[in-house]
Amino acid sequence: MKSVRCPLGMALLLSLCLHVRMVHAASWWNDEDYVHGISVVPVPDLAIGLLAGTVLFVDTREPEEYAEKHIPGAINIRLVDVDGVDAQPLQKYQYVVPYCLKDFRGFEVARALREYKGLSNVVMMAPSGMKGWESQGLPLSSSNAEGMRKLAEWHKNSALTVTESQP
Amino acid sequence: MKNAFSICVGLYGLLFFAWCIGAGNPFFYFFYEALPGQSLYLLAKCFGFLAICSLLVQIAIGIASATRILRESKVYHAVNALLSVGFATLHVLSFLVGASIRSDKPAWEVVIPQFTDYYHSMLGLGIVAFVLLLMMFALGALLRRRLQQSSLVRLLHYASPLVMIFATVHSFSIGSETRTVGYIVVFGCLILAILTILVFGLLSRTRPIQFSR
Repeated sequence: MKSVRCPLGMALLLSLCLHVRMVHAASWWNDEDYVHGISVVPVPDLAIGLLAGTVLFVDTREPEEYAEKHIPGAINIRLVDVDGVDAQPLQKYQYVVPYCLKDFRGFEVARALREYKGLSNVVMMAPSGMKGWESQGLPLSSSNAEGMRKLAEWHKNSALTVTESQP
Repeated sequence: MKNAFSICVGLYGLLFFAWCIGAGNPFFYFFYEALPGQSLYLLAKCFGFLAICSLLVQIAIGIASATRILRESKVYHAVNALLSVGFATLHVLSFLVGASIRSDKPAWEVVIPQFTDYYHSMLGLGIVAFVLLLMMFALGALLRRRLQQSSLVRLLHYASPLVMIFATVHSFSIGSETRTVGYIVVFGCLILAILTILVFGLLSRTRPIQFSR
């Protein structure tokens, strides 16, 4: 039984080490520092860039999930598909933003695009993922045309809100 | 017991090594900054991979036991079951904690089955597989300790392939790396091992009949 406890103990110890490391990483995150070369941009700025055509969102989830709903205008690239991606067309954007629900898969794709495809314009959104996007009142849609229309409405309304609140 | 455990540790050590190669450099997260909870997500992927492999190994042991080509098969079966439950529990826990840290609140939605959309359905299937695995483990423990030898308990324990089916669907539908070439090679090797054991087992069973002729 003693031999059974040893690897389980080691696994728990490893988890603890990773947790300590992760808490340390979280403190850097709040300092607006970059995450291994991947900058963080606020969601509203990215939404405005999306309307202007300077931002490309990359949905890193499964095609079935993408078909249900996604950020308007996003393209679907999973982690397993990154090898076959032609990075040339992605370089013209100011920001390329990989995302998923909570940005676990999104971060892995961001890393892969940066390290293996040499893209320097890869950023992550803050708050993270589709949850973060929705938390800002931004629309998700299964259709790009409908999604962009809703996004334009959001932009119009948010601009009105800003104007009204100004002294 | 000690031999079985050493063999299992060796096998999962090799599988962990294979995972490390497939994941690139997993130690990246020790040396560079990452999003909060990302390292636990990586850990969840590792334990998930080991859990699904351990279920395949359990099938191999089951066949070897049924065809009587493995001595002390019950010991191997028990040790591997313990490891399967350990890997699956660590997989669930690390993902739960990682998701909670990422969203800054307890992410109970990842452990409560919700069949609302594709992702949550596949996630829910994984949770169902995990709960079934715990039940199978408990039933197996009852059978092993001879506390309960009723045919119903034995019959329920034979529902274990359901765990394998649900876990496989869960891992291949939303597991981000399960379909990469490296992982398919590992799964292929394990399935090949299962088939080899099955063939050898069947041959060893039919051999006496051939000799009698």
